[in-house]
Amino acid sequence: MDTTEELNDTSFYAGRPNLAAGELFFIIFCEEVAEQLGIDDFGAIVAVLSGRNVLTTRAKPRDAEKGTSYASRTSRRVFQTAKFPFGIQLPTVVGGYPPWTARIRWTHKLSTFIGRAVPVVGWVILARDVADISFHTVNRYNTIARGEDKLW
Amino acid sequence: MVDDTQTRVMALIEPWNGRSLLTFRKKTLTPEMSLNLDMKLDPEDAAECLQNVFDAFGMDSDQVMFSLYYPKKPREAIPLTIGMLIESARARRWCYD
Repeated sequence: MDTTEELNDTSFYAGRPNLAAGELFFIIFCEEVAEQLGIDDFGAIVAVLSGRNVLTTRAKPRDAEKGTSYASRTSRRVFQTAKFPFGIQLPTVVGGYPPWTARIRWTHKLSTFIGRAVPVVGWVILARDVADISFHTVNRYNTIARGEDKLW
Repeated sequence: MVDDTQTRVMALIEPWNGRSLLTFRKKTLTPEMSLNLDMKLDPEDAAECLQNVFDAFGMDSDQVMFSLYYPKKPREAIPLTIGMLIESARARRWCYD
C-alpha cells in the first residue's frame, strides 16, 4: 500500500485506488468469489443438476413420478441389483425442490442410494463454498481496513 | 386369515425389508404395514417391489395410481399397505384406486 493511494482514509486493493470502506469490502468479496469458483464447483453444479429428473422413462406403474435423473440412471446401470451387506438400510433424500418437500426414505439398494446421494454431495460442496467465501472476505477485509472501519 | 397368497406376497416383499442402520433390527411385516409410510421405501424401490408382486400374480401394474401413494406433496400420501397387495393378489386385479 502506498501513501498517495491512502489519502482521505481510502484504501487501495486489487489495482483500484481511493476505495471507501464499503467499496473495499465489496471488491474483496468479488475477488474471493472469483478465487473460490474453480473446477470443484463446476463438479458440484454438475452433481446438483444431474439429480433433476429430466430424462423420460416409461413410467411403471402408471402415474409414478415421471422421468428419472442422470445420476439415478447411471447409478442403476453401474450397480444394477447390488445390495448393502447384512440387508442394512441407508437413508435417501427424496424430492427437495422446494426444500420443505424433501423426505427421508430408506433403501437397501446401492444404486438407489448413490443415485440419490450425488445431488446431496453437490449441495454440500456449494454450501461450503458460500461459507468459505464469506469467512475469507470478512477475514481479509479486517486485516486491510483501518481503525474505525475494522469489524472487530 | 393366513393363506398361500398371503405367504407368497409377504415373501416377495420381505427382501425389501432392510435392517435399521442404528438398531440393526428388522421390522416385522404385517398386512397392516404400508410400503410408503411405515417401511418408508424409496419411491423407485417401491415401484420395483410392486412390479415384482404384480408380475408374480400376472397382473398389470398400470392399474395402480402410484402418485396417490407417492404424491408431489408428501403430506398428502395415503398408505399403500401390504394387505391391499394381498387382497389384490387374491382377486388377480388391483382392487383400489
